[in-house]
Parts: sequence; C-alpha cells; structure tokens
Amino acid sequence: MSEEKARGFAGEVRAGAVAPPTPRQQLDAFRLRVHAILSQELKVADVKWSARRDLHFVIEEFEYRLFFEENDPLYVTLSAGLYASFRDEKTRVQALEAASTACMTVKVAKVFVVPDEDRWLVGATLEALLPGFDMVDKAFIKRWIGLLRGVRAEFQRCYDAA
Amino acid sequence: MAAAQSVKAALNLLLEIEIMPEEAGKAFVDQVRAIAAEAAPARPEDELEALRLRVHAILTKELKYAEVDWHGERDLDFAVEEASYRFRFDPREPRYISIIGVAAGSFTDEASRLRALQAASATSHAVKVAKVVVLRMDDGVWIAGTSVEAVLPSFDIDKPFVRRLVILLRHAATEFSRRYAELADP
Repeated sequence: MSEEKARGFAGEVRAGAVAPPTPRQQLDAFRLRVHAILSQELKVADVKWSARRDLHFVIEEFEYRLFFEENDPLYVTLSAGLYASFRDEKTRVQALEAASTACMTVKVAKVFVVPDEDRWLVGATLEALLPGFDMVDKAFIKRWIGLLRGVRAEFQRCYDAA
Repeated sequence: MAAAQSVKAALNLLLEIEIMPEEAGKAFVDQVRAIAAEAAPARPEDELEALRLRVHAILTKELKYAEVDWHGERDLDFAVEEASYRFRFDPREPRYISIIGVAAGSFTDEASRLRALQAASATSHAVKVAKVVVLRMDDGVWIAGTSVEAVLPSFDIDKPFVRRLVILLRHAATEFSRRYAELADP
C-alpha cells in the first residue's frame, strides 16, 4: 500500500470507529428487529413488507400495519386501519361519544371517528414516541398489539352500551 | 483404608487452617450479602421512584419549567406558559407514563358538546401520539382534556424525550381549538 492509500484507509477506519450510527441506519436495524419479533418471536402470520418498508400483518382475521417514519425515526404507528363506516347522525353521535370514552379508558391507543365524503369512518391506532431504539423486545411489541386490540374492544363496548 | 484416613486428616487440617474467627466470618458473610444485593436487579418500585426523581430533575433543572410540584401520590404538576400539566406515574405499571392537560374552552349546550367531540376525534386522528377527549365536569359543563401517553421500553428517558412529549401535548390542544373554531364558524 502506498503511504497515501494507507493514510486514507486509516482515516476511513477512524471515522467508522468514532461515528455513531445515523438515525436512518438505526431505523433500518429497528425495522428488521421488529420484523423478527413479529414473525419469529410472536409467530404472527403473514408478516409482509410494504413498498415503503412498513410492515403488514394479520392477527385473528384483523389486519394491522406498522408504519415507520424516515423523518422521525423514533416515532412509530401501529394501525388497525379504518374499520367501520356509517352515514346517519345518530350513529355518528354515539360513535363520537364511544371514541372519546374509549380513548380515556385505554392506555396509549386511540380510536377516532373522521368524516369521509358523505360518511363517517372509525379507525384505531397506537402511536409511540420511543426514547431510543434499544430495549424494544417481544413483550413490548406484544403490549402494543394488546393495547390496540383493547381500544377497539372498548370502543365497541361503549358504543353498544350507549 | 489408610489412604482414606490420611485424606480425611488432611481435610480436617485444611479446615482448621482455613477456619475464621466468628466475628471475621460474620463480617465476610455480610460483605458477600451486600455485594449480592448491589448486583441484584432493582425492584420495580425502586425503578419507579428513580424515574420520578429523574423526571423531576428534567422538568426543573433541564427544561426549567415553572411550578413543578409533587401532587397526591407523587405525580408531578408543572406549568408552561400559563397552561398547567400533570405528569402521571402508574405504580401498577411503572413503565407507563402520561402527561395530561386541558384545552381551552368549555361546552355547555348540546351543539357545542357535539362540535367538541368531533374536533376531539379529528385532532386525535391528526396529531402524533396525543389524544383529546371530552369530559363531563361535576357542574355539568364539558371540557376537552388532552393527554400524551407512553409505555416505555426502558426507564432511561432524557430531556429531548420529555420535551417532545410536552410539545406534542401542547400541539394537540392548539389543534383542537383550531378545529373547534372551524366547526363553530365554518
């Protein structure tokens, strides 16, 4: 190796040794970790990557999506999608009340009623701001899914009770 | 037989040589116990108390928020620009934290309550992490409560994390007010 090349190589090694991983690099590792937890540890069926590298999976016939955000890597959304729709005013009021109560009762997850042209849709998500990528493990992901399923069930309970 | 006896004697001798006076023995046992206690994983209640103190330090010293006071069962009240918030801890689930606040306005009639419910739902859908709910108060008036919640993967939280939670909560209150005003005066 010439002296110049050797210096260049040494410089590269040094830079690589001291530079912390970028959030994007961490996010990609995080994606793979979450995929492994879902498919291998929790043994969830049909865990698939979307075109923009989000994760889709199914639990007991319900579809879930886990969205990652390149611009805000520590922010993660687990969505149960928009799963119910209706058009009449009475149902809308009942659903809005049930959504508010369910949001109050269930930890972290939220359920909402939003307009879509001439109808209203019900959706549920769990959004998390992580303090760091470390420590996200099977129990943690399982808890997220449990909370999201919980808010859907609580919404239904409140709606039926109204 | 002779070999076994000599082995036994050698062991007895070793024991005699190694034997400690009672006092030194007790001190040695105490020392081992102390090391083991230090190495043992922290109890959840100890970790929660450490988290409370860490959050208190972040709110007061690092973020320099006003009026940081312990409330009730060791939750933390604080104020940011005239708005009051409560940082809540859950002894039954130490890794669950929440910050709660109240959005501006109160709703007394049915039409305004429905607008508030609609604005709350739309806001919860639109903003990151935070939720807005409509609560009935004792006097029959309805108000909009805001919250931001997290189940922590670890107790290791820092200033940027807490600040971001407070910003998300404040943003939800602003967004709710904007959406409510739009519905009231389309």
